[in-house]
Amino acid sequence: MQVIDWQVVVKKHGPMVWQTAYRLLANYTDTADCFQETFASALEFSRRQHVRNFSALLARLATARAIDRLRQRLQKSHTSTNLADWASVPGDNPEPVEELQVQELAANLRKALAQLPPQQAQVFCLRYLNDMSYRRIAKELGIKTNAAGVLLHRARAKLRYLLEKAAVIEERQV
Amino acid sequence: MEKPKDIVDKAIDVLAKADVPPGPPQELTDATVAKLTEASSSFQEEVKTIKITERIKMIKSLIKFAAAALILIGSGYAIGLLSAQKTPDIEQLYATLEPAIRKKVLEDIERYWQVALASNYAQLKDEFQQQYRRDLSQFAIETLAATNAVTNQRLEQLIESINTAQMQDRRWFTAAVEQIELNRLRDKTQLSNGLESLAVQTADELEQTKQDLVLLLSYTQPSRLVPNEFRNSNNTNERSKQ
Repeated sequence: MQVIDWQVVVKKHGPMVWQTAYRLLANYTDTADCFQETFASALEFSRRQHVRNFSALLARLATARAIDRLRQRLQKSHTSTNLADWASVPGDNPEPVEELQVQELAANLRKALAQLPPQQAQVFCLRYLNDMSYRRIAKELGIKTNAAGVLLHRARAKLRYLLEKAAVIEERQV
Repeated sequence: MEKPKDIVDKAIDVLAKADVPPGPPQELTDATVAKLTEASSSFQEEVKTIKITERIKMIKSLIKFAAAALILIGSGYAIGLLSAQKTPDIEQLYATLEPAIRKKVLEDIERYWQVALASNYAQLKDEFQQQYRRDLSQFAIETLAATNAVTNQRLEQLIESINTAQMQDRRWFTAAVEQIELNRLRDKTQLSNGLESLAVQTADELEQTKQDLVLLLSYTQPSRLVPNEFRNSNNTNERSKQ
């Protein structure tokens, strides 16, 4: 059985897990829960097989757990992302309309990700948010590199459709 | 002309550049590490229990094997004894069979222990490592606690000595103030006594001067002016002044 010093692992990879989860969830409490769930999943995984690359494993698990949470949110119709924590802090560009548009776009992407099949959403997040190569994604998910490319292509197409649809609805509301 | 950016790319940019608070907070990290450590240790306990159970099973199977071997040998011996035309020499048979049986059993036991040790080597290594870490942590905790206790003790002693010194200073200061007050009272008393004496002397001397003046006047005035009359005229002057 592999002996793991979890204190070192959490210290080393915790910030990356936190960033990955928070970027997708944009909510402090959900991110904290996701953080713990990710490491619990990593523990379960390490019991089953030897872990060589904790960074990639934790990125994958954090993305998967965050997407699960997004899907739960969507199911519960908690459509409004709670941006009270940090999004409310004014950034460098304090144009209110632009800021609002940016926030809406981010919220729409999160919502759209929740509507994708989990594997597609995971491939998309690992590629664009965690900057992983196709080969690494394929290895982590146990699929072929070509399959990762196909999943990513499908994810992009569906996200484009969902985002454009959301934009049209928002324009009509305005 | 620049091609307008795809909405998906825009959204990816937004999400990738989204503000993320620095984290995770220390409490969350600590709680997670504690949970993981606890879950990990409980799992190891389970694994250990399973291993012990397996060992017991192996020992049981070995005992069964040994019993079967004994029965086989015994039955072989019995069959041989029964089927033999003439009664064999028991002592000779025993002497022939015993070393073979003993050797066989020893070989089996040795093989079993080799297998058991080989399979347990990795586990023992892990256990030793964990034990070593636990001992180190325990030692660090105890050392830290002891250091804290000694530091606290030293600080208390320092505070106590400062308090004592302050108390001593205060006593000295109070004694000095009391001494100053006593000196002041004594000086005041002396001064008032001196002033009183001075006043009395001044009054006496004034009276003496007055009398001298009267005498002087009596010498210088015409003879008709007797001192009584002069005194009367003095009185009249005083009355007119009043």
